[in-house]
This record gives sequence, structure tokens and C-alpha cells, in this order.
Amino acid sequence: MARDETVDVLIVGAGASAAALAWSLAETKMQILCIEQGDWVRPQDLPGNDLDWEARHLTDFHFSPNVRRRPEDYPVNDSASPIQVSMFNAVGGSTILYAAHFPRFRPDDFRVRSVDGVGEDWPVDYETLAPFYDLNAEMMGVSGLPGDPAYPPKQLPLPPVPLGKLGAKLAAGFERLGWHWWPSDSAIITQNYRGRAACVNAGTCLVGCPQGAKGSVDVTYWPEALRRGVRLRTRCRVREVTVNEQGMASGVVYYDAEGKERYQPAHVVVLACNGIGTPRLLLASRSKHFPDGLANRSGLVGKNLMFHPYAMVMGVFDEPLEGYKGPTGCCIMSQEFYRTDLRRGFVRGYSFEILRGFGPISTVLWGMQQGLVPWGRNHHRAVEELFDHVAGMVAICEDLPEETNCVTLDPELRDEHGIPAPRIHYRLSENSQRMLAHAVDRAREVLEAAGARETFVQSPLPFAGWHLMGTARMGRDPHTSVVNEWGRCHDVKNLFIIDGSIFVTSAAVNPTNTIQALALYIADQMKRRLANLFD
Amino acid sequence: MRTVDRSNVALSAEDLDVLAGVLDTLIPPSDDGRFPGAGALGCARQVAENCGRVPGLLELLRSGLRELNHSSVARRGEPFHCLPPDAREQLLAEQSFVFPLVIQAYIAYYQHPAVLEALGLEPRPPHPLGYRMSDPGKEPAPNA
Repeated sequence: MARDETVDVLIVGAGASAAALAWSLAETKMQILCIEQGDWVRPQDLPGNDLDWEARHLTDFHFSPNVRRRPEDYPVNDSASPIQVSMFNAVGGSTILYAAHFPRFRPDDFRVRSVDGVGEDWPVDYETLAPFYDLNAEMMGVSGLPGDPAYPPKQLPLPPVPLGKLGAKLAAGFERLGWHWWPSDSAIITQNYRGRAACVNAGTCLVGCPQGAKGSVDVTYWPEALRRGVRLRTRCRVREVTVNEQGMASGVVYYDAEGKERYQPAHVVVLACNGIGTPRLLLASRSKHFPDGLANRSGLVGKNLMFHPYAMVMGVFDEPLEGYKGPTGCCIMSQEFYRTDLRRGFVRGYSFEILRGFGPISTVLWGMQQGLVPWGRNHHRAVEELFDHVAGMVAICEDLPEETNCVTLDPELRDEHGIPAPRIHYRLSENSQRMLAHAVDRAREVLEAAGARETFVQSPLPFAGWHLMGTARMGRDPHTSVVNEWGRCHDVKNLFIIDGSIFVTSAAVNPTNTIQALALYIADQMKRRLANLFD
Repeated sequence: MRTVDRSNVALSAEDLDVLAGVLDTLIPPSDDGRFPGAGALGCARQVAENCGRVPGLLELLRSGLRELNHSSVARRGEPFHCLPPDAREQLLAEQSFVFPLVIQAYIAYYQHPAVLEALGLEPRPPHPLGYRMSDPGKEPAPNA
């Protein structure tokens, strides 16, 4: 097997957390190499440049790797889960396709056990992460309106995304009910910023942003990290993390762009492969030191998988809303039902995120699914009643950790290199089901208050496994967690995990901002402890 | 002969004529003339290509089109695409391949510039120009 030159730090995966950590560590002048199974996505190749952009969201830019089936994708057996796994494999990872809705966790989200007696408390708190949230806002280019009383004071570098007719319409619904709403924090630049051009409201966020206004890390952290000397090697798929006689990580075996097996030695290995890919790789890395998978003496690798169960509730309005314009998933949000109120019949809570409307193809396919759009003579009348008249929201529900929700290795399914595919075991808890039902009723209420004449529900939303969390969680006790309070594996002192796997609980907001704040915090801890990193 | 061939399945010129008739039945021209029929718009070739990318779908489409046309000739004495609209709609409603086909028909039709214009949109991709958002008037102040 070909052997590459040893590097100081090897990062596996080039998504949200990897880019942030690589950029931060680069100032140490260590030799840092990142290897990624996907490739760069060129702006000119993104679907938004062509008329078939919506169609490509159903094929080669689909959320699910099982539908997309690009060469860089690996299959995921999620056939037994009500929520399908969504991810993207490229430089930038899933930030290429994400909505860039960019809220922070709230302080209480780190103390769920103390506050509500469920889940676990995190070994870090909001105050510890706050400076890294601030730094991340600068690096990613976060737009928003300061002053939301749901959060401690925070500074954001850019003004919020426009509400537009649609946002103003739905905000009025929240107003009528007296419910909390606030313009979303969005990793979308509303003004030219650090060499990037401002958002042009094209509405193609979920198939990538050719403008570069959406903060995917291929246009934020990576260019700066590369300028600082980090190296990035694409189209390389890691098969296993190797360990030496002392049980320390020694490097990785990977397949290069030509499919050739190679060995990359490293002094420090960092995993940033998301909440599915990281446990998959750990479980596939068995050795005499770790017969049950690397860093898995606790038995918790792959366990406590959390998604955010989503409900989508859409309303049909009489007037046109210009919903096809503007950042797709960023408009306003509400945390009216965020905190526990046991009278509702469940613990913890959810956020509402207002969506913009659909493009023509999405409108028609959604309408068909709802039984509103027939083929034949009445087709056009039905479409004209719907197109640009649909608006609504998703409820993003806090998922609580359960060991039975987990990632294992599939005994049969493998990727093209013969590496076992991940298999998802997941069921919606009773608590999540009650929360979804409550959210659906409240969403209908607010849409009707905003003037919707009909509402339509999808709950749980199937292709909504965007947020992959909890499968190598952090904690101080090696018996009940996989990594310590600064991301280092309890069992392997030169192996770090920095993606959503290390989340202890899920909160009820999109996780990317917190994933990156944690990655920056872990990088900071590594820099502070360089002299005794492995002690 | 015009053919579309993916996965060793080809549509003949006759298949494509029937397909155009099917598309004009699924998405007929609108009464006010603003929206063209999907067949007349020339979506058949693209629909066939899109079907070729879904395993088994082009084969299903080809056999469905042939069965449909056979049934049309046997029961009405004319090829499907020559029947009047009501008769086409009635015959098509009996076919099992309509559901997967109609999805592909919508995808092809609703990205066509003529259809975007009929919907009131500019007939261009969203990028690079994007869109100017209207001022909604007095925006409500956030509610804490």
C-alpha cells in the first residue's frame, strides 16, 4: 500500500466543522491535511444557473444520497426509519445544500437534565461557546436583527434578510395571536461582505448558491484556511482509522481519486464526517485494541442518534406572495413553544421556521401530492390557484437522546469500495409524536390568523434527516460519553471528533452554527494544550 | 427514425407521437390560450429522456403507450393521438402508467420558458440576476 508523508493533523471530511477547525488551527503552522470523499462544487455547475434547477433537486442535487447516487455518495440503509438521512458529500459538505437558517442554541439547551430532568447536561455551556458563536458569525457572514429577548445579547455583522410580502403576511399572523416571532439569523449575506457578493433573492438555496451569498464553507472558511497553508485532498474516501501498538490513532487507510488504496499517517486525527459518517467510520475501524470499533469502550458509538423531527404545514392564500423570491429557508422564526410546559403533554419544545414559497415544479408536485392538482382539463385552473399563493412553515422539534435510536453497520449493504454502509435504527418517541401534533395544530392556527384559506400537513416530514446528532456524544465520564468536554476521545488521546456526533442533546434549532462554534472551541482548546495535548 | 434509447429501451417515432398525445391530455392547452399543451410544446422527447433515468420507467412507458394505442385503435378505430380530447382523457384514465408519467410531464413542462412566461415569471434561470423583492409596505415590528 502506498504511504503518504506524515502530517501533524489529519482531518477527515471537509464540511462545516472541518473548515472551521482547519482555519483556526492553521495559525499554529502545523502541517494540516484534510481529506474529503467529494469534490469542489463549481458555482457554474450549480443548478440555479439553469431552467431545470428544480428538477435537479429531485435527482443529482437531491438531499438523500440514496436518490442522488453520485460517485462520491455512500448508501445509507434508512428503510426502517420514518425520517430519511439527508447530507451532501463535497468540499463544504451539507452546507452546499442547507438553508443557512443559523440560530444559536439557547443557554438552557445546554442544561436539559438540570432544567427538565430529561436527556443529559452538556459539559460546556453557552457562555463558554459565546465567543466562538461571535467569531463564527463574522467568518460565515451572519445576517440578523439583534435584540431577540429569547437570547442573551449578541452582535451580528449584517442586517436581516428581507421579510418580503410573504414574511410580512405570516408575521401578521403571529402578531394577531400575540406569539413570539423574530427575523431569522441567516448565514446569508445581505450586503457585500469580505469579498462575497450579496444575496440576489434567487430562491435556489437548497440546490446551492451560485452567487456565493449563502455561507457554505467552500466560500467562507476554506479559501482562508487554504491561504493559511492547510492542504485539502478531494475524492478520497477513508476506509478505516488505524491504531498503533499503544492504541493511539496512527493515520487512515483511504481510497484515492483513482481508487488506489493508500495510507496517510498522522500525529492527530480529527473526524468531521457528520453524525452518520463518523460512527460508521469508528465502527468500521476495528482492531485488537478496539474490537467493538474505535473509541467505543463506552459502547456508545452510534447510539443516541437524534434527528429533528419536522412537521411542514403550508397554507393557501388568496393573494400572490412572491414566495419564489428570497432565501428559501430564512425569513422569520418563532420560539413561542420552545420551553417545556407540561400542560401540552410533552417535555421540551419546538421552533417554527417560516419558509418561502415554492417554484413552479415544486408547487405542482406538492399540489399533486395534496390532491389539489389534477391532470386534464382542470389542470391549469388548479395550478394558477396555487402557484405563488402557498406559504407556510416547518416546526423543528427537539429530539431527545435514546440509545435505541442508533447507527450500526449494515451486514450486507456496502459502498463501491466495499465499506459497510450505515444502517439507521430510529423510531419517533411518544414525546416527539405529541410535540409534532401540538406543532401542527399551532401552525394551522397561525396560518389561519394570517389569512390562509386552507392548510395542508406533512408530519413527520420524510426527507428531513438533515440534522445528524448524538452518535459520539461528549461528556466528562468515559462510561457515558465518547469524547471529553473538548472533543478528544476518552479512549484514544490523539483522536478528536468535531461534527454533530458529539451533541449531547439536540435543542430545537438548526445545529450548524453550534457545530461550528464547538469546532472553533475545540480548536482553541487544542491550541492552548499543544504542549500536553495527549496527557 | 426518431428514437430515445436508455437502458436498451427505445421509443419509436410512433411511440413519440402517442406520447405527445398523452402529454396534451395530461396538460392540455388552457382555454384562454395562455398555456400551451405539453405535447404541442414538444415535451415528449424530454419526458422520454427523464423516464430513461429512472430504472424501469422507460420500459413501463413504452409498453403502456403501445397498449394504449392498441386499445384506442381497437375501441375507437383511430390512433390515440388522433382522438378528440374527451375520448383521450377517458382512455388515459384507465392506464396504470399515468402516475409515474405525470410527474415527469410536470417536471418537463414547468421548466419551459413559454410556461414560465404564462405563469408571469421571467423566462430565465434564477441566477445570476435573481429577483427584486417588493416592499411589503410597513413591516411589522418583531414580537418578543
